[in-house]
Amino acid sequence: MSRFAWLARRLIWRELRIRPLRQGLSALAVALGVALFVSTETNTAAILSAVHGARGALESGVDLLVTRDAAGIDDDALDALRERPEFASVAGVVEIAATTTSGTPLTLLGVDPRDAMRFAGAADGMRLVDVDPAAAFLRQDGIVASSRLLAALGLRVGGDLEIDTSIGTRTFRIVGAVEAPGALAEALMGFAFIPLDAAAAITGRPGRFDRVRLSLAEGVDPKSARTAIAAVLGVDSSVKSPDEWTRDATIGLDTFRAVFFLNDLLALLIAGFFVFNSVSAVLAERTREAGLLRASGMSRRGLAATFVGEAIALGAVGCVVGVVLGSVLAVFTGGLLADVVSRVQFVVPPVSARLPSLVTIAQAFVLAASTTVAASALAMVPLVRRAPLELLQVAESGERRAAAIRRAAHIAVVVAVLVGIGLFAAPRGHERVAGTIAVVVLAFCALCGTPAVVLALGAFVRRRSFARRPALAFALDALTLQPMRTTMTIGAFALALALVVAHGGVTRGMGDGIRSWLDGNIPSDVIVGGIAFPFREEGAGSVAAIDGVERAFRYRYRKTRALGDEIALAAMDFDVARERSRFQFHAGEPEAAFDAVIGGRGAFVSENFAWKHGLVVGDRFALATPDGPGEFEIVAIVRDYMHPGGTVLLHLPVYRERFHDPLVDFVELCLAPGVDAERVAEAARAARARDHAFLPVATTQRYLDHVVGFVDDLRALSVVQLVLALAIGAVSIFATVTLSVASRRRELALLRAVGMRPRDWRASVAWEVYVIASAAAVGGLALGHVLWIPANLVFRAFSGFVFDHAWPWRESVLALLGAMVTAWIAARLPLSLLERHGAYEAMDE
Amino acid sequence: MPPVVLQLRGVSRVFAGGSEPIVAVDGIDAEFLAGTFTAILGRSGSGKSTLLHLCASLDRPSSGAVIVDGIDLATQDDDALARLRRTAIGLVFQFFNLMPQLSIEENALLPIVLERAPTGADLARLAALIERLGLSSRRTHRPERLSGGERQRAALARALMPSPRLLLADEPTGALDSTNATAIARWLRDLAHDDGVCVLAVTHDERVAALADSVLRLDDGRIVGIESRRGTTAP
Repeated sequence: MSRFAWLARRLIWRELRIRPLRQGLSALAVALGVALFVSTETNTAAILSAVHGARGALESGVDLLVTRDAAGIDDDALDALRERPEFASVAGVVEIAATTTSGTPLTLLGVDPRDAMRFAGAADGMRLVDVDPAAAFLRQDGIVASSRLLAALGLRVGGDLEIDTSIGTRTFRIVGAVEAPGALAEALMGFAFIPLDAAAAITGRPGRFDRVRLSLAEGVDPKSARTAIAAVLGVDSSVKSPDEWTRDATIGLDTFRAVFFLNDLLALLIAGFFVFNSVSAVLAERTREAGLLRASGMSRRGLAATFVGEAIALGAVGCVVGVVLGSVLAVFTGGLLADVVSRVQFVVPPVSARLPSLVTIAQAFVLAASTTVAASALAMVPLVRRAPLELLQVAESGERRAAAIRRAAHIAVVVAVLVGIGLFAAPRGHERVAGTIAVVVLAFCALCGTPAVVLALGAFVRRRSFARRPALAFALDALTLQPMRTTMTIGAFALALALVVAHGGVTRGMGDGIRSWLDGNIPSDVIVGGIAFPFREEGAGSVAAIDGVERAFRYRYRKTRALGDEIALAAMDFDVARERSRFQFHAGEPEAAFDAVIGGRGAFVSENFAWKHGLVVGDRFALATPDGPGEFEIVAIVRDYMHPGGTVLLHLPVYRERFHDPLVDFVELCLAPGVDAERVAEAARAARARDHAFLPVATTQRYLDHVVGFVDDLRALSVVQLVLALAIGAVSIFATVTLSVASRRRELALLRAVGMRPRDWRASVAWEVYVIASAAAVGGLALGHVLWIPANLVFRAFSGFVFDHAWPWRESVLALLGAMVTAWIAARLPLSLLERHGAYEAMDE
Repeated sequence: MPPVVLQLRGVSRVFAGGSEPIVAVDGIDAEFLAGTFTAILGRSGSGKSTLLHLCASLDRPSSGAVIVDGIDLATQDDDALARLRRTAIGLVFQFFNLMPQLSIEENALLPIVLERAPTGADLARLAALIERLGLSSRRTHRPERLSGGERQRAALARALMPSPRLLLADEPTGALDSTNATAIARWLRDLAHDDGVCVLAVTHDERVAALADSVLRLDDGRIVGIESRRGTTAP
């Protein structure tokens, strides 16, 4: 048996065996972190594979896909493309998100019958069965679905399939089925084909397509094809290969992946804390043993290897359990994740369960090993550096550690000063790089200096409390004796609480900002229409004639491009807005600005648009119009959260003249004072044109509640964060104080021997707990408010939006109360541990 | 005759262990007077330390009564016993048992601080005691920087700070060299004779026993001999 195996068996295995609960908890913490990681990676890989598989099959044989903002591509443009010699085939597709009545997500593809066969015949192994191609798409209610979906629903060709769409439940006759081999068959369960006219009836937009599928004529290269497309559709169309299109469509999954990965890291951080505490406990209990081993000739490296070996054993056990748990978790949560992604990002076809890949397992091992080794090394280094004789001495006052911490703080201060001087001396043009380096170094210096601040603060309070509140003084002694552990505990809890407070502040600021913006900008009391359904205003029927309506306010919203970015173009009746809206002006004289925009001499732009492009009132910019680039002068800069790229606001008649677009997205009703908005909304529903029954009607109040509701939902997430934070706090405090009590049993016994009352030593432990919780709560609140600043900067960088600061009182109060209640709960077990051991036994140890 | 500070009436302590119980202290009767220094001698396992812990109220007898200053410890709750330990009983241990994070001054002040906020008189007494024990230059130091003899003197300072009527010492010279051991033993004797404290010291050290007024010998938890020079009686 090798020397290491001999030691491992006696030292590592023995420890795992005699402390099964503590070691088991640490391994379980690692396992949970690994399980989250493995399930996330496995599920996202499965979703991507399903989407790529299905899309790859559906777009097989297609060279280019063309789209053009929310308005889509119309019949005329399609015909113009068909006349171009560069293209062998041109087909328009309408894509509709729907579900079967049993809840299965389904993407309905509205296709031209001429193109239908190409759709379902080009991919390897995919074929139409039980279908009469000539007759199938002559039926307006015909549908072709995957044979596996039909089998799952207990249906067959010739039967009826009911589907929930945005305009209600529609019944289709099944006129054919698509078959495909292997996993592709499962992925295709998420798609079904219907005739174009049936699709147009659902969207309410006849003659408009979501995208155009193009096959190139022989010998035509993609570059000249793109030029031909731009000549027909203008520069605001988007041309992508099927692969690019699928990749861009699924890019939203990266957000989920990033959020889940952050959660995985948080879980592993907690696992690291468990391992740190576990190893600290082992070291506290086995300091003398370490001294004996060193005195018997074991090297520092050998001692370190013993303890690291123990941590690696923990990590390996945790990782194996975590991979198994993660695989099981992936099976159960795969469908859930696909469902969530389908609701908020893109429609995910049915996903087949899969095992984690070897790469994922290897990554999990690396994460688990690095977490456990880093945490154990952090706990172990101070012990390994001590001389054998010091290890053999039982008591330690912490003076040596305190001196080392003070030294580190002094060095940190010197480095911080040097960095400050260096920052001023940074060469011109390199300020950004110098600033970034300075921030990183200063953050590291702050990290190095914090334990010294904890020590100094603790010593200051302790000096004043020893004579009058000895229980507090002993608690502070316990905390400052292990400054690293204390700082980590307070830091982990404070960070978790800070995230709650910051989230609350940002979402409240966002909610208040959006609500006040909408409140000010929407002049009406009842709204007819929705952004996804542009229509001719006569489609709204005679709503303006409803009793009690004073004026109608028309609003057109579309996306376009300006100064190289996608932006929102909002055209409205500015004369009504002038009377009834309250725009929040950042620049521009309101009366003159309204005159100019109504007179067609300029445009309002949003604050984020002006900020992004460095524009001020009086500057000019160009928008692409059907007649070529059109110049507009900025007459006012207003607050607007419509689009991250910015918003340009025009008077509707001016927009119609310049863009030749007769559509509107909303017809809004301004009511006379005292008129019941609900009654008018009901009357407006009845007054809609027969073929525009899909147009939504809502009172402005309900509309606002609906729009701002998502911010409230976002804010409600802070409750979930709070629960997570309190769990972290409870675990941290429990582990820290239990360890503290365990390592101070002799001291507490001695205090009892010299006359400390039971309630005093209970008070000492309680103080310890409440000092941690209070410091974490205060630190968390302060940090939470500071975090609002970078959060707003991130918003600014990504969206150009800024929100005013809002005091998150609800989250702050909850965080404070939660911290105290958590502390009280977390103190129960250490106290019972303390009461279980008499002074007599503890002193005899 | 000086008053009785400590009375033991049929005190026994039985521990449950293995197949049969272990009798550590077996029906001891004794009285200890103020101003006397008694050494308790016996081989390892004879019940010396257990007896001392019973006298210190750190443990409760299985039967019999321990009476300190007229108070039967069995009638007292935890709070009352804690109060007794910090006001009437001083404890000195073989391995000092000083609080490592407290300075010598703070260690000595501990029983007072646990009772109430220290007064000017307390601080004056602390200064005098530290001076008397030769620790003036060490008063702000932590225990880890002191020698064994200094640590035991610091422990003595802590035990004496509340002016106890009863001082219990468990092998007070066990971890010291002969010079320091003799010095500590003299301290204990002087405390008894000069300050009227009732001092009980468990020891193996014949030099300590030689300075005691009485020597009480234990074997198997029973008193097997008393050499009474002054003030100790056993019925």
